[in-house]
Amino acid sequence: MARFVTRRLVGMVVVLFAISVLVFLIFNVIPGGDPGKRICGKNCNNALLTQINKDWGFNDSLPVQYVTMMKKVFTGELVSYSSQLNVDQQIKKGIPITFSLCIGAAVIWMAFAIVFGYLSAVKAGGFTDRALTILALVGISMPVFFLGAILLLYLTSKIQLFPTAGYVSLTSDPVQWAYHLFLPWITLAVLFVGFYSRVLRSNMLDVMNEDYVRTARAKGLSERQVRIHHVLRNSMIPVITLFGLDFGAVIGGGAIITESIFSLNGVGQYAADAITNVDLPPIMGVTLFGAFFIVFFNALVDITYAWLDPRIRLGTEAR
Amino acid sequence: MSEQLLSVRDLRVRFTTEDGIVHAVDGVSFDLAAGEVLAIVGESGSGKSVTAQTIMGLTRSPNARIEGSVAYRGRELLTADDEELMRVRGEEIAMIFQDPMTSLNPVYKVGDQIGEAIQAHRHESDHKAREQTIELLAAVGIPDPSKRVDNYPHEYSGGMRQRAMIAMGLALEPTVLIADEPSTALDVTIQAQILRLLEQLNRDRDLAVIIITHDLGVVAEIADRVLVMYGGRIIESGSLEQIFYDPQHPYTWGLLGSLARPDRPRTMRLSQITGQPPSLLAPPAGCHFRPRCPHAFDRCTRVPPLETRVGENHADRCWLSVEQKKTLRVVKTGEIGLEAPAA
Amino acid sequence: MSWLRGVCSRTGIGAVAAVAGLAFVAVGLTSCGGGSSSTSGTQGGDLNFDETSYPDYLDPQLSYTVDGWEAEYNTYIPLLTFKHAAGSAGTEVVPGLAKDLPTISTDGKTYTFQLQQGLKYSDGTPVKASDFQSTVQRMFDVDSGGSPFYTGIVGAADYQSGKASSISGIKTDDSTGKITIQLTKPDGQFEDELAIPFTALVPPDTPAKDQTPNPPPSTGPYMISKSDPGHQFVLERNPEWAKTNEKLVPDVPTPHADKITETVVKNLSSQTTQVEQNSADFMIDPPPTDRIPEVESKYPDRFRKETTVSTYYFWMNVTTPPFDDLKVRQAVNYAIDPAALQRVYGSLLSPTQQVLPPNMPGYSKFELYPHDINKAKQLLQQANPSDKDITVWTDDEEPNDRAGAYLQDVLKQLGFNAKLKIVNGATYFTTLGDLKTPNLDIGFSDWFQDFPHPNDFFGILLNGAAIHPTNNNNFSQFDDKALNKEMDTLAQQQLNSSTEAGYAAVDKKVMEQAPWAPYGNREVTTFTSDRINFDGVIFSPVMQQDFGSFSVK
Repeated sequence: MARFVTRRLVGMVVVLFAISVLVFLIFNVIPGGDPGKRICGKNCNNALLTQINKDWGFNDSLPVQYVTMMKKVFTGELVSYSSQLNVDQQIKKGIPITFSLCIGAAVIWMAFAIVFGYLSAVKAGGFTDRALTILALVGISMPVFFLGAILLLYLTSKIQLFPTAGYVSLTSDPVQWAYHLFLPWITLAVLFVGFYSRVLRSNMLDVMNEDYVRTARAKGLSERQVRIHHVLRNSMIPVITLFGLDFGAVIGGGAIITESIFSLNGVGQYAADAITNVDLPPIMGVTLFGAFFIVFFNALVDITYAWLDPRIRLGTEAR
Repeated sequence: MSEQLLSVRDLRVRFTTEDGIVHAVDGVSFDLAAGEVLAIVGESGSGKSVTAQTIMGLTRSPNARIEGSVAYRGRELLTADDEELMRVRGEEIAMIFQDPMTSLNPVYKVGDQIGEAIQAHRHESDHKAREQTIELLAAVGIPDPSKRVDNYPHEYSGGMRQRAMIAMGLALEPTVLIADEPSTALDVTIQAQILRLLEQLNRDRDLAVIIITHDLGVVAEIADRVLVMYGGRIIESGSLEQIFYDPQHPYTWGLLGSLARPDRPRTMRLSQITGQPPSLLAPPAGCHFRPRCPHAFDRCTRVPPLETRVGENHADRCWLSVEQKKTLRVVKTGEIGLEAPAA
Repeated sequence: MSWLRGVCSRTGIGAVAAVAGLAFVAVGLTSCGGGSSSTSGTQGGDLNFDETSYPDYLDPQLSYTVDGWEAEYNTYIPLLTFKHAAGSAGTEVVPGLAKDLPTISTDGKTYTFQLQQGLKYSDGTPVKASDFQSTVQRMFDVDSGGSPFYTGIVGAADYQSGKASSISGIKTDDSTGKITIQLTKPDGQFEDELAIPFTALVPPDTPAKDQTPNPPPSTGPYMISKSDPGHQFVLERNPEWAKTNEKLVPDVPTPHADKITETVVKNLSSQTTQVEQNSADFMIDPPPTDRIPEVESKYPDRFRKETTVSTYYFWMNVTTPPFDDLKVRQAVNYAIDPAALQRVYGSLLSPTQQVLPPNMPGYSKFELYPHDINKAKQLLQQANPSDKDITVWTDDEEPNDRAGAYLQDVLKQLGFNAKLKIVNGATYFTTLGDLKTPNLDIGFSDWFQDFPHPNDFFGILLNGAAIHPTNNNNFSQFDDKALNKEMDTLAQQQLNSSTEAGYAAVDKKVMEQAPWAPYGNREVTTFTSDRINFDGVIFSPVMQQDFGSFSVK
C-alpha cells in the first residue's frame, strides 16, 4: 500500500510538472501574449515599458521566468498580470463556492442516478423503464448553458421562485446557502443523472444474468435482497470508479459554465475570466489546481476500486 | 419403500424468444425418492438444466410458459407463491451449479455468503451463523475452515469452491440437493473428490441428490437411477445397471458407444452419433431422435410414448420391438467398464 | 461652458456678485455646487449595485478603468477634480484639495497650488503638501499605466528610471501648503491630468504596491470600508468628511447614500432581472443587447441612455496600398452607413463621422461623407487600386465582431477581397499596436477619453510623433507634417474658445484626409431600481456615474 501511494505521488508530480511547462510555453508562444506590453496599457511609452519589464522580470530568459513563476506558485506569491491580485488567495476564495456547487450536485446526481438506474433495470422494457430512458436521454442531450438559462428565465425572472445570483456561505446561513445553490445544483446534476442512470441500468442488466445472482435466488433470498445485495452492489463498482473521475474533472474546472450562468464566483469562474483576459498567472494557478484534483481523484478511484473489488485488492488467486 | 419426495408430472416449459417459441422441456415426468441419487443425462440443449431449474422456480419469467406439475411432498411448487418458494429453496430443496467461480459473488467473503443463506431462513446471531458456517466448511472437507471462512472466492481453488457451494447448499439441511454439472468445470482428480463428497453426504445424511450431467462416467460413479433426456423429453429411464447393461434406446446406445474405454483397441475410432441435436424452435415431428437414428422407420413419425417394456421401472421411448433392439444394439452387455452384474 | 468655469472660482463669484447683485449671486452659487447636495432626494440609505467584474484596481495610483474611476470619484480627491455635473458642465476642472485652480506662469511651465490647510485622511492623519510629491512618486513606483501623463514633469523621467531618488520638479512646503510643479514644456492638458485620479493624494506611508485588497485612507466624502477583490466592495461615509473636509472642499458635494455595496455578478442578464425586481438598485454595465428593448419599454421612468465621450472608428493604414490612396479612404467613408452600425450596437451607439465626440471641447459637428454607396463606387473606380486583398481586423467582444463583419461586407461590395480576422479582446490592441504584425490594413478601434481635452485624441491617435513600433495607438500611422505642427501648437496652450475653434478645424482637416472612417459614439445606460430618485442621478461626461448623486426617494 505504501508503495502504491508513493508511486502515485511521484506520478502526480511528474504530471503537474509537465502541465505547468506546457501552459507556460503555450502562453509565451501565442501572439499578443507579451504581458509587459499589456500591463503597460493603452497609453504606453518606452520608459514605462522598460520599468515594467524590469520590475516583472520579463527580460529574463524563459527558463528563468518559469522557475521564478513556479517558486511563486509554491510560496503563494503568484500575482495576476491584469490586476495584480494574488492568485493563490483568489483561488482560495473560490474554493468553498466551487466545492459547495460540485459536492452538492454530486450528491444529488448520484442519489437520483441510483434510484432511476435501479428502477429502469428492474422494470426493464416496461413503461417506467422507457419513461426514465427518455428522461435520461433528454438530460444527457441538454446543454448546460441552455438548461441554466431556461431555469434562470422561468424560475427567477418570470416567476420569482429562486434568487438570480449570488452565494451565501454555508456557515453563515445553511438554508440560504442551499436556496441559492438549488438551481445550479440541478443544472450541473441533470447531465450526470442521465448518463449515470444509463450506466447503472446497463450494468445491472448484465449483472442480473450472472451465475451468482442465480445462486442467490436458489438460496431462498427475497427478490429485493437479491437485487440490492447482489445485483446493485456489484453493478456499482464501475459506477463508483466513473464517479471518481468525473468528480475530479468537475472540481478541476468542469463547472465553469454553471458558475458563469449563475454568477457564482468560484474557481471555475476565475478560470473563465483568466482565459478571456489571457492572463498567465491565474491560468497557471487554476490549471495546476484542476490537474491536481484530477490526478488525485484518479488515484483515489484506483484505491477505492481495490477496496470495492477484493479480487484486485488481494492480488492473484491463492492456490 | 422410502418416501416419494418429488413428483414431476408432464412438465412442459416453453420460452418465447425473438426467433420464436423454444420448447425446452416437452412432457417430462419422474419421481424422486428420499435418499436416492438420480442422474439426468443428456447433451446440451436436452432440457435437463431447465427441468432442474424449473423445479426450483428459477425459470419463472414473463416470457416463460410452464405447464404440468411439480409436487414436493404433496405441495405443488409450480403455482407456489413467492414466499413459499423462498422457503422451499434452501430449506427443502437446494441447488448447486456448474461453475463455482462465477456462481459465488466475488465481492463477498465465502463465509458471509453461506451465512447469508442461513440468515435468510433463520434468525441466528451473527456469531452462531459463523459457527455453523465453519462447521459446514469442515463437513465438506475444506481444510482450516476457521481461517477459510473469511476468504474471498478467488482465494479458493476450484475444488474448494465447489465444496463451499455444497456447504452452502447443505446449510439449512434440505432433503434434496440438485447438482447441475457439479464437476464439469473441474479437473479430473478434483472431479472424483467432489463426487465422493456427494456420495458421502447422500449416505450420511440421507440426502436425495439429483445430479445433472452429460458425462456417463460421472453417472456410473454415483447414480442409483438414471434418466436420459433428448430434445426436451425423457427417452429412457431405469436403474444404473439397467441403463448400462440393457440400454433400450438407440440414443443411449450411441452415448454408451461413444465412451472412451480402456478395454477397446486403441486404433479403433470412437463411434459418434451423426447429425446435430434437434432445434428446440422447430423440433421434428414424432420422435425427436428420428433424423439421426440409424434405425428409424415409418412408425417413428408418431411420438413414441415412454413405457416400460423390459423390466420393472425400466422405461424407454422407442417403437422398435424388444427383439429388434437386442439385435440392433451396438454395445455389448458387460463391455462397458462396469463390473458385470452378478448374473 | 467656458464662462461657467470662470464664475465658479472664488474670484469669479466675487466679480459677478459685484456686477449682478445678490439675487444673481444666489443663482450662480447654486449652479456652482455648494457644501450641501444640489439636487433633491433624501439623505441616507444603503444601496446595492451590481457589476460584471471587479474594478481593475481600487488603488488611485493604478486604476485606469471606468469601474475604478467611478468608485474613486467621490473617494480619492486629487488637487483638482471635475465638476459634479452632467453634460458639458461636467467637463470643467474645479479645485479639489487645492484652494483654487493653479496659477500658471506665463511660459506655461510652472504650476503653483495652495493646498487647503487642515484636511484629514479617513484615518485621521493630516494631509500635507509633501503628500503630493510622495503620491506622484508612488505612482511611478507602482509602474502605473497613467505615468506617461506625468513624464512631462521635470525630473520625473530620472525618478522613473531610478537615476534620482525624488522628482526634482515638484517642490512642496508643509508649513504653508504651497506646491510648485515644473514642466519640461508647456502642456495645455496638465490641469486635466491633475484632475483624473492618478495623483489623488494618499498618505506617504502607503506601500509602493497594489493596495486593492486594502485600499488606502481617503480624503473624499466616501471611503472604501471593505474590499474583497473579485467579489464585493463597500463605500461608506468618511467620518473625516463631515467633521473636517466638507467645508474645505466646496466643489465636491456630499453624497446622499450612507453606504453603497457593489457586488460582482457575472451574468449580465441576471443583473438586469435583479434591477427589474428591485433586489439591486443599479447595474454598472448596460443590460445585454437583447434585453434593452424590454427594459426600455417596461421601465421607461428608470432607464435612460447616456452618451460617453468616445469614438468608435475604422482605421486605415495610410502607409500601404490600397489605403495609401486618399480616394480609396474617402470611398470607405462614403460606403459606411453609421445608421446600420447603430443597429449592430443595439442602438447603444450615436452615429458620427468625426474624430472628436460631442461633449469634447472643440467638437463642432460637420458631415463630410454622407452615406452614398454609389459615390463610393465612383471614387473607387477613379482610384482603381491594384491591391485588392485586404485584412479586416476586429476583436471578439460583441458587437465589435459584428461591426467588423459589416465592414468586411461593405468592402466586398466595393470590390475588395476582404478577409476578416478576429482577435481575442485581451490581446487585440497590443497586437494592432505592434507594427511588425503583418497585414495591418484596416480594422476596428475605439477610444474613450481620459479627460476632456482634444489632444487626448489627436496627440495619441493621429499625431505622427505618436507612431511607436510597439504599443502604438496611431493605427493608421497618419503622419501629416502640417497637422502635426497644428496639434502640437494647440496642445501647449490652455483651452479656451480660440483653441477649441482650432481643434474643430483640425478635426475637419483630419477627416478631409480620411485616415479613419469613424462611425459612432458609444452609449451606456442608467438603469435603477424604483426606489432610487432617478432624475437626481448624474452621469458625468468624464467620470461617468457619479455615485454621490444616487439617493432614495
